[in-house]
Amino acid sequence: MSAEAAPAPRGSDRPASLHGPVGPIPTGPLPILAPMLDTVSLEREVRRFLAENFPLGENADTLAGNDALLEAGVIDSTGVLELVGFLESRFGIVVSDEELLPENLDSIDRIVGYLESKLGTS
Amino acid sequence: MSRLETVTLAQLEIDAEQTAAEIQTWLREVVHGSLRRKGAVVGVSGGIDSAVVAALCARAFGPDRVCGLLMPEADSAPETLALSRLAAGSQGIEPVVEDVTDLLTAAGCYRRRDEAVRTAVPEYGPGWKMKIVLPELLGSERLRVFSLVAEGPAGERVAKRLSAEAYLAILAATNFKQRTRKMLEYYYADRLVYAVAGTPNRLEYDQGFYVKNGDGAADVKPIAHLYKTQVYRLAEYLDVPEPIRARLPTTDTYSLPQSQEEFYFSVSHEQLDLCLYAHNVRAPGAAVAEAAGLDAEDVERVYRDIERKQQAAHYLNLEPQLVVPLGGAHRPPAPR
Repeated sequence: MSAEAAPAPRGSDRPASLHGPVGPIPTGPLPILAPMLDTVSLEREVRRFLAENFPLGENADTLAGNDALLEAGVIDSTGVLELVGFLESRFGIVVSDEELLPENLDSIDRIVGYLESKLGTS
Repeated sequence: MSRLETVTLAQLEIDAEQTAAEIQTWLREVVHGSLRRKGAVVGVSGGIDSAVVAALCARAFGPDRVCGLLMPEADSAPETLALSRLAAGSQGIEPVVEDVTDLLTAAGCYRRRDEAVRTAVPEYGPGWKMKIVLPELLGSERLRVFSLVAEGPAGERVAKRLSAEAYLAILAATNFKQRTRKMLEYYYADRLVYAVAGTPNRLEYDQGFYVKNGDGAADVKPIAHLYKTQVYRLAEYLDVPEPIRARLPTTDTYSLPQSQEEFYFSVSHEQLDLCLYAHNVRAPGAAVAEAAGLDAEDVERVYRDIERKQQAAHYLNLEPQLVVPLGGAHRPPAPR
C-alpha cells in the first residue's frame, strides 16, 4: 500500500534535518508577521510561498486570485498540510480542523480573506 | 454509454472462467515469449489480490514454477502469515517465508518512523501502536489531510493532525516495507529466472495506491485492469479459500489495524468500483447514486477525490524520463 502519491520535496527551503529527526515546519529566518498587514501584502506573501514551494506555483504571478489551487494541481493534500504549516508559522495563527475548508484555502483570494479574518484586519 | 444511462454493478459482471483463461494465456505469452522467463514470483500477503495473482500464475505456469513469497514484519497482523500460507498452499504453491523485520530494522524503517511520530505525539514509544487516517469524505467539504492515531499501552488514544514534514517522514520510512519486499522478490526472480508478478487491481493502479518501486514495481500486472468486485468474482472461480475472500481489505502496514477504506479510498470497494466505472464512462453522479447508495452530492465528492488521486498517480505511473527517447534500442535482437 501507499499513501497518496507523496510528492517529492519541493522548493529551496526544505528542512535542514534530512539526516536526523523531523522537526517542526521550518520558518527559516522569517519572523512571524505582525498582524497588521494589508490585503496586498498578505497576497504577496501567499504568492511568494506558492512560488517557492510548489512546481506549478512558479507561475503564481499569473494565477488568478480565484483559481482553485487543488483543481489546478498547484497543491495536493500534502500541499494543504504545507500551506497550513506556513500560515500557522508565518502569521502566528492556529488553523483548526474545522477550518480546513475549500472556502478558506482553495484560492489565493480565499487564503487572503481567511487570513484577514483570523488576523482581524478585514 | 448514454450520459443518462443508469450505472449498476451488473455492468461490472465478468465471465470468470473466460477472464481467467485469457489472463493465463496472456501470462504465458508475455512471461515466456516476451520476457523470456520460466515462471513467476508473487509476494503473497494474505489478501485477495495476491491470492488471485498467485492462483492465475499457478494455472499459467504450474505451481512448481511459482515462487510464493511470504514476507511478514513486526507490524503485520497476527493472521497475515496463516492466511498467506493458505493462499499459496491452496494453489499447490510451496511458500517461501522471508521475515523482513531485520532488514527493515537495519534500514532504520521503524526508528525513522517513530522519530517522526514523536514530533506529533512526544509520549509515543515502546508498547505504542499507530496508524494514519483520512477524515470522512462523504457529507463533508473538509479538505482531506492525514492525521495520526496513536494508541498507548493502556489503550489510551491520541489523534493529531500531522505537519507536512512529519507525514512525509512517516510515509517515506514506511515505504521501506514495500521496497524491501520488492527487493526480495527480484532476488528470487534473478535466482530462478522468473518474472515478478505485481498484484494491483484497477482501483489501486488508477488511484495510485502503491509505492513507486515498491509494490508498484513488477514485470507483469495481470489484474490491473480488473475492478475489485471482479477480483472477488475471479477469486471465487479460482477457489481462493473463503477466509481470504472474507478478509477486510487492509493496508497491513501500520501497527494499529487499518482498512484500505479508512487510509485511502474513503468509500467501500463496491462504491468505488461503481463510481470509478461511472467516472470512466463520463456518467453524471445521478446515474450511479442509487446503485452506490450515495446521494448525488456525495458521488460528486467521490468524483473529485478520484480526479485528485489520478493527478497524484501520474508521477507514480511515469517511467523514468530520458533526455532523448531511445525507442527500440533495448529490444532483444530478432531470432535468426
